[in-house]
Amino acid sequence: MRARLALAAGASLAGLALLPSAARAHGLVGRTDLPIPDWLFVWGAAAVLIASFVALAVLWPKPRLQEHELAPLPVGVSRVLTSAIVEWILGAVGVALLLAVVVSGLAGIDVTDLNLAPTFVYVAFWLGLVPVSVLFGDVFGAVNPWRAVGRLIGASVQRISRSEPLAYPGWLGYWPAAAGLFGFACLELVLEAGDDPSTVAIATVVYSAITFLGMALFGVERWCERGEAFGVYFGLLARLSIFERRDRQIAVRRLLSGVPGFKALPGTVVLLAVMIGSVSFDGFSSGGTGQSLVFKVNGAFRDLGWKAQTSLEVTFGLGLLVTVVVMLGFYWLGMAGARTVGGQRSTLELARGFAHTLVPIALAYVAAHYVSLLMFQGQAIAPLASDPLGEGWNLFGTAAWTIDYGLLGAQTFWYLQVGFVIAGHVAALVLAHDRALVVFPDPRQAVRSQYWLLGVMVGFTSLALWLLSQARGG
Amino acid sequence: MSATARIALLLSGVVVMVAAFVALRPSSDDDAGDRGAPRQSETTTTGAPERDTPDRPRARGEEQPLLSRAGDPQTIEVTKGETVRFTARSERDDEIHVHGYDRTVEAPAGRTVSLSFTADIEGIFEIELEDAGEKIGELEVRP
Repeated sequence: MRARLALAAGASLAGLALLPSAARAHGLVGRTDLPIPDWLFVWGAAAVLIASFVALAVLWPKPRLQEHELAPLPVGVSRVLTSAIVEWILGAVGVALLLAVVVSGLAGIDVTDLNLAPTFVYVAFWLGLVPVSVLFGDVFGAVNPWRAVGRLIGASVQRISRSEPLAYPGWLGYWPAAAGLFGFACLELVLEAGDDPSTVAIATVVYSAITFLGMALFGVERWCERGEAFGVYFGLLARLSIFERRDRQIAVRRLLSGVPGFKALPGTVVLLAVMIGSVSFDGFSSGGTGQSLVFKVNGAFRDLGWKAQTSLEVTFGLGLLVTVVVMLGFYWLGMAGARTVGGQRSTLELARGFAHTLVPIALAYVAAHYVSLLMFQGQAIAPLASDPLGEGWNLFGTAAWTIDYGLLGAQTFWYLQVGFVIAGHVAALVLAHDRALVVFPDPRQAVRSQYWLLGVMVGFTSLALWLLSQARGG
Repeated sequence: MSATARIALLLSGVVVMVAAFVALRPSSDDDAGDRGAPRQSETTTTGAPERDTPDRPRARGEEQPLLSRAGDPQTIEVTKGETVRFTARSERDDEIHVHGYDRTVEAPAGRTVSLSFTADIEGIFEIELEDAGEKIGELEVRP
């Protein structure tokens, strides 16, 4: 079966090869993962089912995660970490790195893997901050360069004019953040020039301008909470961490107890669908099935007389959009099902009520899909930091460092990937179970609603495993 | 359900998963025999050894694929430790680059150049015409 798929994909690729510069926009990716072997796929799927049924049987009968207790860290540690000087330093680091990206991207060599900007943005920032957020909490909130600049300027503007920011409209919710993440996914996965250093720099400048505009209109903190895509994204992942900051105190909370506190606003479900959908699309479009589909759709556009680049970008853009919509539709279907068990809530209320359960799933998708890229391409930060513009500099003496691809073998990555997917699945089930006990006061309804939620989780998890097992199309 | 029953159920779940893992996981020998042997060797005449001994690099002189812009991007499949051999050609002066392994060879216009090295890193790696920025093949190294 797989051989046949590979053959079909290979045949269609023969045609694709005639297009200038192949389908993938990734000049950064020198190594890709081997698909997980069939036996591991089977085991992963079985493990997911076993875990699900065991979880349903043993999970607690009363909600336990909705209200959480905090165990504060020693006062001294909290004081130092939240002190004004540390805030200044972290903000300054963030601003310096933002400037480094823009300057390297615009002034440096326009070759993707020789310029700091693409690797820094797509790997160190976008992927590197994922484990940092999940382990240590909302670190990005402290480093966020836009917030640092916004606060600095905001403070001085306040002194001159005492104008108040506009009230953030309720209907806007997380829509700006969802749009921002979708835009970033387009840049990374759709645009052919998306990983050119100059494109990365220009996109950074444009995004900064939008962010400052949002801050000027609605206030710095409010925009960072709702509208600033990366702040929202990393903030959401940081809810999985055991560390929580409240004012000037840092405390430890119970595992997963930070996630239910996430208040779903308009746009929340779409935000999560974008997170899961963009990773799925990246996986799907580089697998055999996806590539033959890309080939067909692209061919249809080419027949309309479109230019090669236009038709390929439209194909990928449509693919990304359709994937996000499919994720949304699948989740919605599950929630519509859960509504049938009774209770007063509408499908939309249920969809928002359980939206936070998708956070660990989104993390599992990102972790499984990108762990090897982060571990290998992440090493390139050392030489690039020493020579950010590709001018032959050696600022930190690390310019000659190379990526050690022998660091971890293919099998280790397989086990890591499947492990992430199963752990994400279990975490999502636990969160859904806990919330169901609150949403459905009748215990029987709570139990029945969970079959629907289980269906949703198993669906997302199976898709993740299937994407990992996809034979590469080229 | 009592606390003991819960823990028992949880433990039995874990035991079943571990048992399934051990049962399903092929031993490294099976794995190499199953996946590692390149397709071409399946067509060898009877009597040939099923697979080469690991310490003898697989010589596949007559099977060297030719990678070029005009042809299909081919996948070269090997098992870790084997020798990769392939030839490549470019219409313009260019450089053949194997990502990850970072092997490069000058490819003057129209000349067929060959590359060979030991596959010691697992994964899938792009082979491209460096200056044209064009992928002409893929190297798949299985454990």
